[in-house]
Amino acid sequence: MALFKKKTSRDESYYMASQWTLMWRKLQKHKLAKFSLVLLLILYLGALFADFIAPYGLEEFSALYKNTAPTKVYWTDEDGNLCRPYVHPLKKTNDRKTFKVVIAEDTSTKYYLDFFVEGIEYKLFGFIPTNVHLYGLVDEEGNPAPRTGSSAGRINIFGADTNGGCIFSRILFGSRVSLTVPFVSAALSFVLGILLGGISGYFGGWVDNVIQRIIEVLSAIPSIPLWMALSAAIPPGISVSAMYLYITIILSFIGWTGLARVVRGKFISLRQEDYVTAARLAGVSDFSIIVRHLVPGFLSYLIVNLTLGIPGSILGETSMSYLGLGMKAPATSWGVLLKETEDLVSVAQYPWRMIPLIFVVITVLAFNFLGDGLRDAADPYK
Amino acid sequence: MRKYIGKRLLMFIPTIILISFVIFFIIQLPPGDYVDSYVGALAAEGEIFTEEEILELRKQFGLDDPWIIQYFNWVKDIILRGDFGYSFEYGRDVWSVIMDRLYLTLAVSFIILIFQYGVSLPVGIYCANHQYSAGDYIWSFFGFIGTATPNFLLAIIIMYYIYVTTGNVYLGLFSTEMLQNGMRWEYVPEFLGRCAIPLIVIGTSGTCGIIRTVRAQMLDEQARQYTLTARAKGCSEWTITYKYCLRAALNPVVSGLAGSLRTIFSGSTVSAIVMNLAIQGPVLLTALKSQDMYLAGTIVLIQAVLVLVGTLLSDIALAWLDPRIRFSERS
Amino acid sequence: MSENTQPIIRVRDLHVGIPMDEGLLTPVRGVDFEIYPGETLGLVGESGCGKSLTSKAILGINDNKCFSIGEILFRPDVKQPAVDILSLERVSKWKPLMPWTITQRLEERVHDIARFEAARRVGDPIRPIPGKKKEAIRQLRAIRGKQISMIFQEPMVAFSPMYTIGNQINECTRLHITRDRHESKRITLEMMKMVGIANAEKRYDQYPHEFSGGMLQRALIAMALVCKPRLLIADEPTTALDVTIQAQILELMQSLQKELGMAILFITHDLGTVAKMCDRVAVMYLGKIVETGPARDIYKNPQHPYTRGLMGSVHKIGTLKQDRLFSIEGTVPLALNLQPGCGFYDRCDARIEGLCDKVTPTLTPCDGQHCVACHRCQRKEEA
Repeated sequence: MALFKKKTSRDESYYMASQWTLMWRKLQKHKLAKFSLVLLLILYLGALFADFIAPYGLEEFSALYKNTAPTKVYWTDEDGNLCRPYVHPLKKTNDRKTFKVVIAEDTSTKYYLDFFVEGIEYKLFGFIPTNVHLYGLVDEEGNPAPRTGSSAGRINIFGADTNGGCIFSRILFGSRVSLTVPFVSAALSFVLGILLGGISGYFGGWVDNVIQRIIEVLSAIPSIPLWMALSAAIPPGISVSAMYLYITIILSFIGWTGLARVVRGKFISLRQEDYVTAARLAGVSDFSIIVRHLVPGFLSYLIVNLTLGIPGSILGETSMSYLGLGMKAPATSWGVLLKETEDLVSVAQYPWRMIPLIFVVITVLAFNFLGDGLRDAADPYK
Repeated sequence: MRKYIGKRLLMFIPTIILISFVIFFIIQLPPGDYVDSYVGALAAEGEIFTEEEILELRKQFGLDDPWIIQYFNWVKDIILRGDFGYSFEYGRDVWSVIMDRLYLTLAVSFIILIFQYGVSLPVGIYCANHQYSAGDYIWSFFGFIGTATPNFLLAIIIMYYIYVTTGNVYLGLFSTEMLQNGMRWEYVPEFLGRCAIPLIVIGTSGTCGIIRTVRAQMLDEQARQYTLTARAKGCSEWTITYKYCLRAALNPVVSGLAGSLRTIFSGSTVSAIVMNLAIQGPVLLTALKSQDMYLAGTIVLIQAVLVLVGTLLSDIALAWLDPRIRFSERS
Repeated sequence: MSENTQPIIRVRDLHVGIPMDEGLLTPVRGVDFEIYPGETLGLVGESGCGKSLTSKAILGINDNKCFSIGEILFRPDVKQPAVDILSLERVSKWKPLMPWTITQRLEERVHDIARFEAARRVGDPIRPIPGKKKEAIRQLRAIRGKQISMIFQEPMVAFSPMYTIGNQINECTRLHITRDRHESKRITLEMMKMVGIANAEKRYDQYPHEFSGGMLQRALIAMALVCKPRLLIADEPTTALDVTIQAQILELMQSLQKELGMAILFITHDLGTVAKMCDRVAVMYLGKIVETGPARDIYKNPQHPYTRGLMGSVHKIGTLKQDRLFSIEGTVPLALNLQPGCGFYDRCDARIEGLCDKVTPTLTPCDGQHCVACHRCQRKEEA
């Protein structure tokens, strides 16, 4: 018979590509999802390099800068010419006539904005000791400006909190908690969900019944009251890392139920598929059927579910911290920062305290968009 | 159909018992009990209790038993006498504390539920029919902002905005006059106005979820073969959308009813604390903090039971909507 | 079927394109045919050759992401002027041009111009007058179901599971014949009995999931015939059914055709059915008609290599077991970014290098009404 012309490789690759390649390709076409992915990467890198990027440590506050607005950066000198960016430090003076304490910019002193400035000591990634920070202030000679005390010169790009701490630094340190808690708890619910859902769907019978009832019960109790009740059970005065662990567990306490339900449903429906029967007839073991044939069949779906579940955990963490049931100062998270906005009065007086909210909103949105993109991409042949 | 409902009702009872058990277990988890926090609070004011007095107090409140016995006593009293226990904090029985705010809580939740579905169904249908139009994008934008902002902060932002623009602070659901003079007809508009903020705050997150579900479902259904059949028959697009697609698309929306109730209860708990609403959220928080366990337990239990009722209602509605479910239940 | 009778439908140079990320998909690339009253035209081809899209284009019910170019002239009556269903469809789907859709539309236009020979006709009313949209929709709806109706491939999904069969068939009656409840129900029941649904009164109130596949197909036929259409499009009406029911359904269609005097466009990939049902046959390959003519001619004397391949791949009772069935190598290529040249070139055993892969063959008569689009056959004619 006739030879036939080879089709162009591009056409061919569409049919030959693996599910993951197709998913990745499709995701790249989803511009919003791609953008979200980049944004999230930046946020997570920010959390990873928090000590480096943040100009000040958590304990470095200066009472002089209490509740001050974002520091003004000057780009022009007295004559109006463009020059090296600088800031004026604040200075406390006593008005002799009115006996009032006046805090104002000390225009006689200039601290220059500089990169890679020495500051508080920290360990990068937990083991490289260094004291270099991405940016900071230096004086005329190039020595780092004092960061605390009465003559402190500080640059708080997002303003300062009630203690005079830098909100930007706190947001970065807070992101370590706020960005990883939902992730870890999502991973935890992922494992729990697949395990329990899988057991439930694969074995059936009374095991299935018991797990189903537990899921039903847990998903009938509204999540925030449940979280509140569980966090009330956290013993007071425990270390930050233990607190972290507790919150993670509490958040994953509900997350797994939905996932388990899905996994169970998929197991039951996939168990009857012809290819599973075929594998069984070919002598493939049960475990191998589950791992090699069943789970890949809906893994992409689960990952989508997981991504879409993360925003809920982020909001849960902020809500809990806000109610005073989660992380507490001096440990910081975005929820703790938002708790400090507290009421109308403080929002009206110090609007920059709402800046952490922007980060929460952006993160939640990014996870939502990414999840949406993944969901579309998970159905690659559509 | 009647048999189906009966069967569902019967399954209700073991689930409620299991829920009450789980709730009680969680509520009693915190170390110590109400007596500890009571004694601690008084000790801070300089009043010191002796060991015997503390033991006596415990005995009086029935807190000296192991928790499982306490649980059985609690359940026994609920079933036999409709007695939900004693609130240590308020010094009277739990049911009377709850009744103070129950109707208002239910009314607020119900109004929010109606609001959610009333807004999200038409919007979802609109977005599906005008996929990728400007309206679709605008609604998606609002929807995402709504889901992405924590409820309580949205409350603060809205209240701040109202304060700046009108100079009034709409805290709570009732004005002072209303509380002094009792509810009168002329107060209804203001009451509804005051309801608007919690409505928006608590309602938005759920609304967006439903909009997205409706939109996705409608798009799914519109791609089905039967819409093609209907179009080939000469049906109008209106008939195709509302008679065929919508009815099929309602399925997941209706089964999400219980989920909506849950988010409303969740959302209202935190937002009520921020906005100082006289519903059960703030009571629950203080009860949890002071280990007033029967009160906290009962509030969570009531919410859970309401969610279960929601599940039941949505199952019945599903059976009514979708003949396939009706038939599979019958056989 | 004499020369002077008017065809009930005349499809001229129909193209259907689907813009995709990878390029322009062109499942239908210039289809011409006409159907006369009372006759049956068989449209034959492998799956994916554009049969279904062609048939849906006739009703104007293709997906919104498809766009069609060409002309579909429908003339239900000799006295009436013909209407162009395609332009009606375009008017009915007209949307005001918004800034955010302009780029998209432009891209589509570029695709049209670059890829479609048909788009050279600039006078095509791509963007018609908006005021006539309502009128166009009304006209289209009056044609659909009443004048032209369609039987779909898969009866199991063609009905909405939410409503009873009676409700869904009756909807057609009420739309086109009478608003009177009792009268329309009577007509519907009559048609249900006519297509052989036993116990029609009871079946009327049952849901699709209570029907068997064959019964659903009958119900679907009843729905298509209840308004006594002038043209029936049967899109592989029997592929989902088993053989005994197939025969029953085909016979039913034939007897109904005699009774109602309608024309049938019979779409299938089953040549046996075509032989039984059709007066004329058009063979489609990769979005083009490659051979058309009276059924007898095509069966006796297939010209196009593809048609010959198709004929060779049919079981015939009486052939010896050892005789291998003929099979055409390869698969239908994806109609994506196609270059000029014969679509069958890759798989053809009689191709002419340098001609078949460069020049698209056109449909030319070879024997009376028998036409074929193949360079090899044309050379033979000339010789």
